[in-house]
Amino acid sequence: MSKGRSAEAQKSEVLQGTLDLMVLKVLDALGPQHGYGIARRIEQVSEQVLQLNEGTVYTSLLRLQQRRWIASDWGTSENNRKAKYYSITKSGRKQLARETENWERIAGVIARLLKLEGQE
Amino acid sequence: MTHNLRALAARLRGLFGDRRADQDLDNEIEAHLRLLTERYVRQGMTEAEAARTARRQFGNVTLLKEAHREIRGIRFIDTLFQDLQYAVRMLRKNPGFTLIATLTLGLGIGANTAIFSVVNALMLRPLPFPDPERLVWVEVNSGTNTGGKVEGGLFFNWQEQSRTLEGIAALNSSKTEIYQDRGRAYTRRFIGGGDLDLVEVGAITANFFTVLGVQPFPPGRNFIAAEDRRGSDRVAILSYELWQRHYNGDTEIVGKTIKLDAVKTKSFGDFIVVGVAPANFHYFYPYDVWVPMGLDPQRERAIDAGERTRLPVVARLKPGVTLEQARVELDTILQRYEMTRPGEKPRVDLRTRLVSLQEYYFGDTWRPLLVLLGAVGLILLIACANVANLLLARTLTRRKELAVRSALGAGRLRLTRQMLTECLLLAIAGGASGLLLASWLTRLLVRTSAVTLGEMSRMAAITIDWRVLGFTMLISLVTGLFFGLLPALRFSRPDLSVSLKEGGSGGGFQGRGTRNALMVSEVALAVMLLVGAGLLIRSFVKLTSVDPGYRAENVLTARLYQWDGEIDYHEQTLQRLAALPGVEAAGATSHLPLTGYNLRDYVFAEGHEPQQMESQPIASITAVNPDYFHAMGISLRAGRLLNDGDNQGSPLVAVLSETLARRLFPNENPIGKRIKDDAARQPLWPTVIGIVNDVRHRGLDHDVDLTVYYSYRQWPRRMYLVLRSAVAPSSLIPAVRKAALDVDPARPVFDVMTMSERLSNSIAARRFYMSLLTGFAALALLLAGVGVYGVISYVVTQRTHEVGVRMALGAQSADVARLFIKQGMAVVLLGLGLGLLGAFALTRVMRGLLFDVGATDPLTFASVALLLSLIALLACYLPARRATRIDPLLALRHE
Repeated sequence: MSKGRSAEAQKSEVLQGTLDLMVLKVLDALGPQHGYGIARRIEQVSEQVLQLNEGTVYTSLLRLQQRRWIASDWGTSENNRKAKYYSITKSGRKQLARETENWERIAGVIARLLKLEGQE
Repeated sequence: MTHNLRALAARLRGLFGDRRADQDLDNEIEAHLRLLTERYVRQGMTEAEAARTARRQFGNVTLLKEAHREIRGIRFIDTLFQDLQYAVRMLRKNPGFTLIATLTLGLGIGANTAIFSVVNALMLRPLPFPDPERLVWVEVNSGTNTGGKVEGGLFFNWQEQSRTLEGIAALNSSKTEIYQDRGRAYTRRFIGGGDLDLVEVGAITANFFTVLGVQPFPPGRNFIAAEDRRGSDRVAILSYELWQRHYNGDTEIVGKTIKLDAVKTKSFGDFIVVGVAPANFHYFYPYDVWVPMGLDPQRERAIDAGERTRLPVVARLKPGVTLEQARVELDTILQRYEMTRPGEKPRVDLRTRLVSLQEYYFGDTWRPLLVLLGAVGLILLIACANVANLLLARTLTRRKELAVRSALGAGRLRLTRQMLTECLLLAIAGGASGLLLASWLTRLLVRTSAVTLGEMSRMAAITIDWRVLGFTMLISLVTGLFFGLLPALRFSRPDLSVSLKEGGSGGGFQGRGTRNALMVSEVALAVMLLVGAGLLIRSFVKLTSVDPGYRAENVLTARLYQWDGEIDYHEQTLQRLAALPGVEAAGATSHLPLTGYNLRDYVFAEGHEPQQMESQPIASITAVNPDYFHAMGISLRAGRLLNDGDNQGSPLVAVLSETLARRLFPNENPIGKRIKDDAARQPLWPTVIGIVNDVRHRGLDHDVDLTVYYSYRQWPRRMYLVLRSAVAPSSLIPAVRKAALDVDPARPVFDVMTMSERLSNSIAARRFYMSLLTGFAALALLLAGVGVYGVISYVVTQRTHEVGVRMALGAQSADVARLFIKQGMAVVLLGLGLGLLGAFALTRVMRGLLFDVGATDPLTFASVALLLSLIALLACYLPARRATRIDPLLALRHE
C-alpha cells in the first residue's frame, strides 16, 4: 500500500470501511456481478481518483457475505468461463440504505466543518 | 440472530481448514488477473507487461489469501494454539511457581467444590419424586409459631373440600388403632422370615405413597382406602432395607404375612405385605414398616379437643396452583372448621402454613452451610490474591521479554490474550487438583454428615455430579480470569524504552501499590475466617465445659422392650442386671437425657395459687427407680432420695430438681410440702421428700430442665436402663443383651449406647462445623502467610542492590531487617484492621451457631489479631533475614 502512495501520490487511498459501501452500491445498481466486474465499475466511477488494490474487493466480498448482506452463486462469465457472481440480499439493501444515510450525514458534517474553518 | 449463527458456522468451517473456500478464492483471483491481463493486451501491451500491470493493480495475492483465512477463522485457532504452546512452555520453565500456584488454587477450588457438593445435594437437587416442586408440607400454627400439627377433623375437611390440592396425606398420628402412644416413631417387635426383630413402624393414610408419587414394588401396590379403616384387613408395606434383611429381596414377598406387636393387646397381630418401598426411602423418618392409620373422619370431627389426633401432613398441589393460592384456600377451610366445631369457641389465632417439601427438609441446614460457603469463598479469594501476587511478581521479571515481544509487533490484545491463556491453563490445572481434593473431602463429609446434617443427608447422596463439575469448571475459569486479568492488563502495555533500558532487574517500586492491595485483602480475608473459627472454637470449649448435671462416664444405657405398668418384669430385669459383674448400680428412668423423649407440663405448689399461667414453671416429669440417682451421678441436696419403700401402697412422693424447688417454694423449705402436675399425677398431691441437683435434659446448649422425679413403682412407665459400671461400659453390652433375653427371650434390649456416646453425639454437629471452619481458617492463615512471605521475598530480591549500597555505607544488618519488617508489617496491620472490621460486620450471620459467646467476642478478636500478627511477623522476618546476609560487594554487582 505504501508503495502505491509513493508511486501515485495524486490518488487517494480508499477509506477504511467505505469499500464495503461501494461494493454494496455497485451490486445494488448493476445486479449480480463477479469480482472483476465490481472492480471495473468502481474504477470507472472513480475516474482514476481512487487508488484501489483490486484484491481487496474480494476481502470486502467475503466480509459482506459473512454478514449475509450479499449472496454468491456460480455462473458463466462473458468469455464463457465459470465465475462466482455476487448479488445483494434483502438485508444488504437495508444495510445499504442505512450506510448511505449515515455517509451523507457524516459527509455533510465534514463539509460544513471544512467550510467553517475556511471562513475564519 | 440467524445470520450471527451463520457467520459463526462459516467461521467454524474456517477453523477446520476449508480447502474448498481456498480453492474458490484461487479460481477467482486467477480469473480476475486473466481478465485484467486480457484488457491490457487489448489496450496494446505485450503479454508479459500486461500480466505485470494486472498483478500490480490487483495487489499482494499472498496477503489477500492470508486475510481471507483470518476472516474465515483459521488465524484465530492458530493463535490459540500458539498461545497454549507458549503458555505450557512458560509454566514448565518455572516448575516452582507452577506447583505453588496450582496447589494454592487446588486448595481453594477443592474446598469450594466439596462444600458446593453438599449444597447441591441438599438444596439444589430436586427430591426424588415426580414433580417434586408441587409437594408441600402443611402446618397449622398459632401466631408466629411453626411446626404445628393438623387436627384429624380438619385434615379430612381439607381432603374433601380442597380444589387446589391433587392429594393430601398424613402420617404417624399420635393415636392410631395399633400404636397408641405419644411421640413420633415406635419401636415394635416384628416377626418376619422367621426372625424376631425390632422395627420402627410408621402409620400413614392410605394415599400417602400415592401423593408422593411412590409406587411400591415388586409388583406391589399402595394401600387402598378400604384398608384405612378400623376392622379392615391388616396390611403393611416394608422398607427396602427390612425386605433385604429378612427376605433377602424375595420377589414373592407380596401376600406373605408378617407379625407386628400391638400396644393395646400386648400381643402380635398378622399383617399382609402388599409391597416394598424404594431403597433409601427415609423421608419423614427411617421407618421399617408402614401400616394404614385407620382414622375415622366422623369420630375425629366429633371428639373433644384433648382427644383429637394431631397429624403431620403432606400434600400435592394441582398443576399451576401456587403455594399462596393453596394456602388461602386451606386457610378458608380452616376458619370454617373452627366456626362450625360443636361446643367450642373458635380459635382465631390459627394460621395455615405451607412450605415446599424441599425447604421443609433442608431449610434449616441453610444457615450453617451459608457460613461454610462463605468460608470457602473467602479461601478462594485468598488463593486468587496469592496467585495474582505471584503472577505480578513474575510478570515484573518478564517485562523485558514482554517489551521485546511488543517491539517485535505483538499488539496489546495479543499480549493480554497470551497472559490470560497462561492464567486459564493454571486455573484449569488448579481446578483438576481441586476436584481430586474435593472427591476426598466429600467422602469425609459424607461420613460425618449423618450425625451433622441430620437423617436427611443420608438419602440426599452427597456426590460429585454434573452440576458440581460444572460449578468447579465455572469457578476455575472465573478464578483464572480474576487473578489473571489484573497483571495482564497492567503489563500488556509495557513502556518499551524504560523496560529495555532497565535490563533484567525489573525496576524498584513498579506494581507496589497493586501488590500491597492484594496483600491487604489477603490478610483481611484470613482475619475474617480466623475470627469465625475462633468464635466457634470458643463456643465449643464453653459448651464442653458445661456441667450436664450428671456424670456420663462409665454409664451404659439401653431401652427395655416393655409396656406401661409392667413393674414385675422390670424389677426382675433390674435385679438381674445389678447382679452382673462390673455393674455398680442399675438405674432406670422413663425419660433419659439426650434421647429427645421428654414429658413436660405445668407443676403447681400446694398453697401457692397460680397468679398467671405464663410464670408457672413447666417441668420434665420423670419416673425413676431408687438407684437411678446413683447410677446417673445426680446428687442429693436436701431431704432424702427415693427408696424401695416408695411403692404402690405408700404415700405418693416426689423429688424435685433444685431450680424447680426454688421456683415453686421461694424462701421456704420444700421438704414435706405437696405439689401437683398437669400430666402424671393429677389430681393427686405427692409430697416432696428430697431435692437433687439440676440436669440439662435436652443438651448442653439448653438451659437446665426443671424436673420432677416420681418413683416408678408409684407411676409405672416404660423405662430406659442406666447402668453405672466399674469397668469400661461398652464391655458390658453382650452381658446386658444376654441378661435381658434370659428374663424374656422375646424381649431384646435396644438403643444400646454409652452415655458418653450420647453426650458426644449431641454436640457432634457443633464439633463438625467447628473442625471444618477451623480447618478452613488454618488453610487461610497458611495461604496468607505464604502470600506475605512471597511478597516480602520478592521485595527483598528487588532491592538487593539498594541493600548493598546501604550496607556498604555502614547500615547494620538489624537496620536492614527492620526496614523490610516495618514495610511488610505496615501492610499487614492495615489488612488486619480491615479484617477485624469485616469480621465485626459478618460474624452476626453466625449468631445461631455460637454458644455463650458474643458474635463480637473481644477475646476472640484479640487472639486472632495476635496470632495473625505473629505469623505475619514470621513471614516478614524470614526473607528480611536473608536480606541481612547479603554481601555488599556481590549486591553492588547484582544486575
